[in-house]
Amino acid sequence: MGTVVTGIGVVSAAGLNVDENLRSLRCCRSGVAKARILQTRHDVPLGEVALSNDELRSLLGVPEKERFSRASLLGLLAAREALRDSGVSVDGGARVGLVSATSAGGMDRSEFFYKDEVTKCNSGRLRDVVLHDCGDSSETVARFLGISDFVTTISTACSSSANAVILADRLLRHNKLDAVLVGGIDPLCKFTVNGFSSLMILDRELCRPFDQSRAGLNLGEGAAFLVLQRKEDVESGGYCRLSGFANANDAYHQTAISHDGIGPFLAMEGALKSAGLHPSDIDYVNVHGTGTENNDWSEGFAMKRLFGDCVPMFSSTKVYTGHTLGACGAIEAVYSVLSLVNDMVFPTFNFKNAIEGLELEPVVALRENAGLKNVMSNSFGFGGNVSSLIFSKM
Amino acid sequence: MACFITNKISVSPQQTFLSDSFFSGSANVAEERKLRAVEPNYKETIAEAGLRRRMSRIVKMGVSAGLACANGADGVDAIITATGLGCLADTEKFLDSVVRNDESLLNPTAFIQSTFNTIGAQIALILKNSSYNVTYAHRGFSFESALLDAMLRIEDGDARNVLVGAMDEITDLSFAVMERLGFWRNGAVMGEGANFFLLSGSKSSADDVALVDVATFMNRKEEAFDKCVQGFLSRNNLEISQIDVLLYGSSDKSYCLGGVCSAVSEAVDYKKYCGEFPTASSFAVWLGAEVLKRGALPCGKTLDGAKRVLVYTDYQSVNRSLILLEI
Repeated sequence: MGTVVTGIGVVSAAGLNVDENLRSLRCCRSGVAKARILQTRHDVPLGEVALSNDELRSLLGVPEKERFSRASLLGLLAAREALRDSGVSVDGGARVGLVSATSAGGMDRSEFFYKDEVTKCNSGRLRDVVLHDCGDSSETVARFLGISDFVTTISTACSSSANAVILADRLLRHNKLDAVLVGGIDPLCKFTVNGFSSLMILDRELCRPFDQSRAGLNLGEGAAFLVLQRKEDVESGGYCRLSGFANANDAYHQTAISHDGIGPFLAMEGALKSAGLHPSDIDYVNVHGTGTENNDWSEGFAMKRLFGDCVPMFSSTKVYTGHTLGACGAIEAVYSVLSLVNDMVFPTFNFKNAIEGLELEPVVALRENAGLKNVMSNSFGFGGNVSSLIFSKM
Repeated sequence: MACFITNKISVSPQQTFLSDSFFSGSANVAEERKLRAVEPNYKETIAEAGLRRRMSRIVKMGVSAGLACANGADGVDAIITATGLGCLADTEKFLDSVVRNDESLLNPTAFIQSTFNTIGAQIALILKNSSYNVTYAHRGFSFESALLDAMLRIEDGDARNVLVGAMDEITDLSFAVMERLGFWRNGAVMGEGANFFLLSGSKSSADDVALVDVATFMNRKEEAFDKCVQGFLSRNNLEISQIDVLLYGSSDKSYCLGGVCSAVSEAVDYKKYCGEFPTASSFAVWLGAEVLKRGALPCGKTLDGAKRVLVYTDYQSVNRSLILLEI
């Protein structure tokens, strides 16, 4: 019994597919750089996916007449890779569902619409604004891949796609579906860049997760999908098991995590419980680690409370991708799977000094033959929505 | 996998919020194609003035309904919210300032509140509730997904009481955009509201209505949909004749379940009371549960021994859903 990961796909600033992402992770190559595609006044580094919408469209073979948001294009690239990787056929009798997640959805197109609507007297193009809602990219991906048995979308800010994984597991256990393509999508857009800028939590340099000098996050974009199936339905193994998870609410503040990280603690503790594991069983934590003052303190505090003096190896991979909001839970889930399968920890390569009072040091250089059996992945969001996932070797 | 609706609260265009008057036969009607919610007295529902002032209209509606629904519950083990378009006014406000101020000097409040999980988060914050908390935002499937998640959690024993609710709001811009898209062409009116339910694994009183089943259907052609209904009924071991009331809410007025509609003795178009919005089915569940409890329709007509309500919702002919209620 149990749920296994049988396919993965990812697109981020660190690469257009799994292989490219893995190469970047192994070589400590960050995709976070000066904005090249997004037109914005803010001079902050961004984790942009290297291709323009037109380039993505031609890579995917999406016909000219189809109006796709950047969210749909990114989502499709990662979802198609994951589905192909799994070998699951959507018309082979298996009930296949899509559970996606996003925070911005088609906002990149809505911005064009709204600008014209405001400045050119209600002349915004409707074909832009119809892509606005969160469900649009999910339905576009589903339609393009031929999935129609079940489609839904979760939006809990930066923990969105971790929560999608939790629902997917439940749908499989209840035999509602035979395979779930689950993940998250978020495009960069002015809306989020300006939102985070107005909150004054964007670093002008490359983010420095868990460093004493950290000064905020870098925004990024991307998408990642995993194919989950019941273990007993899978003949040839799969990558790893989804062995545990939990969702909790910090119930402290709309945009900040409590100082003592009560929500993160509950999520991590709950995930261990659902996996039937002890804290000492966790070999590596892919932390949320955004690089903000608040997040890293609270997450570190919660880890110390949970793991005591034996905090496992941990690292934040946001230095490679930027913070991809609704997509980060899925991107980091894919990275966690890659860690397990390749038995390596991808480092937070730019770390210098531990946060005073926490004294926690992330892994700073690629660790191979790391002996990983159980990997935890954390995702925390606005609204106190916090979730932890655990992936384990088969 | 039935669970029970042990409490329900509706903020809708009708007199439904902690009020009986909707069922006395006086329904509010649309003005200029909009059915605006009859809003609660927020001073009574959200005590803290500072908090109230910061909240936008949809947040106040949602939080008021959610808190009233959770009131008196013997613990809330999960908070699951649903919204098609989220906190639209906040989203528009922030977008407007980005455009008008050319990306400078922005106030973060509207951005903070624009996230889809704001209402679920605020309820958790006010109730100091750290349990499972999630928000679905998928067009006409948002509320149905929330119900499914809630039912499965209860069935698994992961939760005894789940607070589940849905909300969407009218804004002038969204009305105008949808008008240009032809949404209101065939007589539909725009609606809004916040409907919350406390779902439990066991009854809290003898006349609690059971939420028996929920199903969503993507992109099914009308001809094929009759089959979906048959499948849904047969997986619940029912014949169409055992459905006493059909509450239908269709975007396309020409189709309301074809053969099924004519086989049911009472069929009521619920969107004439709540208007069209992505989570309108949440109003239908409130209405259906109330119909079964009272044994009467909102027009005042009494029903003898009505046991089952089937809610059929069509959102833009892409998202269709069925929800079965039983007393």
